[in-house]
Amino acid sequence: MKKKLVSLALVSAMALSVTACGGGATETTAAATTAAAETTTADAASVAASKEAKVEASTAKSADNDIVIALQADATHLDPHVSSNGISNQITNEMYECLLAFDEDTNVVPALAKEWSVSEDGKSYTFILNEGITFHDGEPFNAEAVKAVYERGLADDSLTLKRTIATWEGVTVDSEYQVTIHLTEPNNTFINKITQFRIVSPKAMAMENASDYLAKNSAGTGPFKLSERVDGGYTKMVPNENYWREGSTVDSLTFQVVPEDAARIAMLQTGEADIITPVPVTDVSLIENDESIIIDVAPATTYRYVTLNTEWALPDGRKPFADKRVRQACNWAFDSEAYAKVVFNGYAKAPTSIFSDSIYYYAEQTPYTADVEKAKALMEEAGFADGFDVEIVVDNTTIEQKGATFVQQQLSQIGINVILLPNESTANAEKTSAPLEETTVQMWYVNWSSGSYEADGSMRNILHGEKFPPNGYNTAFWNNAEFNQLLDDALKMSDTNEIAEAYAKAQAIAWEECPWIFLGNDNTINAYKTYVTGLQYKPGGTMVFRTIGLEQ
Amino acid sequence: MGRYVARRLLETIPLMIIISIVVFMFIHLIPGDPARTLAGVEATPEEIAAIREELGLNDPLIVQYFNWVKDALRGDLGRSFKSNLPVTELIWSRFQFTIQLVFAGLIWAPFVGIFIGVMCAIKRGTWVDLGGMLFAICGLSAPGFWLGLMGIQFFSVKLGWLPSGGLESIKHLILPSMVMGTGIMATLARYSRSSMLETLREDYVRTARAKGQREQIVMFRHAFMNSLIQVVTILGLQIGGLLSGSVLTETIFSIPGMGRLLTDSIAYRDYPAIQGILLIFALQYVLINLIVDVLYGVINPKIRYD
Repeated sequence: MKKKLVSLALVSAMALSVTACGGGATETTAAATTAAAETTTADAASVAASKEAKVEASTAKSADNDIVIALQADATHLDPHVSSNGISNQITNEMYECLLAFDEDTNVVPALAKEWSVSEDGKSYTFILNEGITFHDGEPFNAEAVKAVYERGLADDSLTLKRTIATWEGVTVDSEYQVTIHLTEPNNTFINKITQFRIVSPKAMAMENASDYLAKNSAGTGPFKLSERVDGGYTKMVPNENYWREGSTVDSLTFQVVPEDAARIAMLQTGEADIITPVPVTDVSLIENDESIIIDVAPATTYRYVTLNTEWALPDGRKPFADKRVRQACNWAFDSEAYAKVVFNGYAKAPTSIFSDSIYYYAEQTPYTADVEKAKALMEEAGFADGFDVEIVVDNTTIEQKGATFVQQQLSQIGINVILLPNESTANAEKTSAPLEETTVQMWYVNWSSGSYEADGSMRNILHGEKFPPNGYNTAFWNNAEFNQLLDDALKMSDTNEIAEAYAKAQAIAWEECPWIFLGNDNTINAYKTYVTGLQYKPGGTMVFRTIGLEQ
Repeated sequence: MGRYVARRLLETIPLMIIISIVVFMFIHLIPGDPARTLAGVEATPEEIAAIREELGLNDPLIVQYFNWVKDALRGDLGRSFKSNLPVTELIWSRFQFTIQLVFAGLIWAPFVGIFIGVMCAIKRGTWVDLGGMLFAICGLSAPGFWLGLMGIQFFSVKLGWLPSGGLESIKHLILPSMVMGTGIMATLARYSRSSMLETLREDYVRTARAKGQREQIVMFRHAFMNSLIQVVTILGLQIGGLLSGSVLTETIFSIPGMGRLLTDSIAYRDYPAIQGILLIFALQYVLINLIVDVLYGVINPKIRYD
């Protein structure tokens, strides 16, 4: 009898555990099904349509007046002249301002400077500054302060600021509120670059360990001042009470680091975070129907592509990617519409040029619509009807590998057998920066974005013939004299029509020559509570919090 | 006892030297250039070279090592490449979070684990034993990551009882404590059961019973106390694992602890930070093992270190 009881207990315990597991499993399956169903219906348009309805219907109020923004990663450094990545800029942009800025539609608008003009020869830019602005540390903002930033860049090669001022000849202080920047030669990207030239208080920059000071204190003119920071944890700011224009009404603004995607979503659902960015494409369906959450989808400036090493040789000595027909065949074989759906759940755009349409001087090209027969014909013409084996370098994150696997599957249709070499991004960066003689890179699944939305910045470093690694990331080792010349000429032009023409030509050449497989642009997806007000955007879906508020 | 502890502490010195050399060599062997990572993708070779020079990466490895040792002996572990903060300051700020997590896990898990294990052993073969071991196996096989995310979904999103991340109050510690402790609880339940069963078969237990000792005393003083030796060993190893292996909990609950500092530092090839952290981890293991050895003597006075 006792034995029987034990086995009964065992059975019921097992049943219990099965139920427990079963519950979880059902839930996951349900979620997966919903996600799959929504993949077919959900797109940027439907999300945008539901946004207005949600805002109308919302009566939700925030429990406090402190805004929390959950970000995926932390800033590397809060000194705006040291840090270089997008997340650092997102955080420091709330404390530091530039002479000019971009609005949502990629127009350059006044910021610390109220007017600007360019000289006849295109080499001098004069800025009239706004008056009566003070830095967080009480120092006045004036022409001398602008010059001091330039001088800091000159004095220290290790600052990323160096990049912005590389083409400058000098800065002259014309009067207290007028400053002129002189360039060594005309440069059409200057205005774009000036939106990255962050003005810091001269007093702070003059300190012996300026970077240390700026890691713990803010000394800008921006709408927020640094309050406290836990490296890797959060960066908390409070509004600048002496801000020179309309600012925010919140009590504090906190950027919290929440690396785990699911945790970011949960924090928004519970209201612990008021805004989250980015929302992973696979998780949009989890919050899409939540009445208290608004999702904003914006085309990102990030452009995805696969470089085809034109110098790479097979064991038999033939160089497949040296033949334009093979490179074009790869593009005809690649279904970029399907790529957007499969890899990005529809939150991406098929490519229509060699960079995103939110970049200056974008010119639309005729898409390579998937045509496997045409691709096969080109392969045969080029003498590669039997295809070949090729390796692709890719970062080992889920989404990157998923993308590279999609490339692999697409190219298998024309006999190209792609072997994935996933590795961590830092190791890949080393591999892909090897010069031509040493490189082992055959294909590279990668993306690029220009933080200042310029055409030159979207092409030069990755396609110009002088930018073979280690000078740049042209791992296609593609060197087209006409393309190079167009880029070099355009840079020195000042007539916008001529610039547009040159860049349109350059885009057409690269599009036809196919140094890459053109994959597409993904979207930036942000989500926030309906009670968040005053959120502004820069191009590419970057949020600006200057006038942020919370409905109480 | 004092002499024993002093000797053990002295013995850690050569160990730490060996560890520091191994760590130093290994992190320089992994491919990836910290200067390139720091400079960002738009950097020119000149900028990268300037950063390399500034970070002292152009010196021969052996010179870099001795420079580091020289500073480390003065308590200066260098500056993080990534944040430019002193590594000691960085580690200290992160260590506070990890130690909170570890305590949160330890505050319940060993007690519950040992209790379950001992009860299972005493009630061997009954439904108590079965239920307890089933519970322990579930705890062992549930991945912390899954457990954490489920906890957030249930207690934070659905019920709204607990915060889903951060470490601002005791409330914030409850879910992480569950994730940190479950594995230990389950492991200890298994170990203390088998350890207890073993001691219950010992002659001295039979003797105690034969001389008419009350069952509770037999169980507690004779069996349980003696079975603890094995359990403490396991516990020591588990705590070491918790201190250095809290990265998953830290990631799920957005806590800037040591585990995440280490993974972030590796991604950035932040050599000074990696070296500093690994050195601290090694030191922790050594200290915990020492504490475990000392505890043996407390649990079983027959064990003496002279």
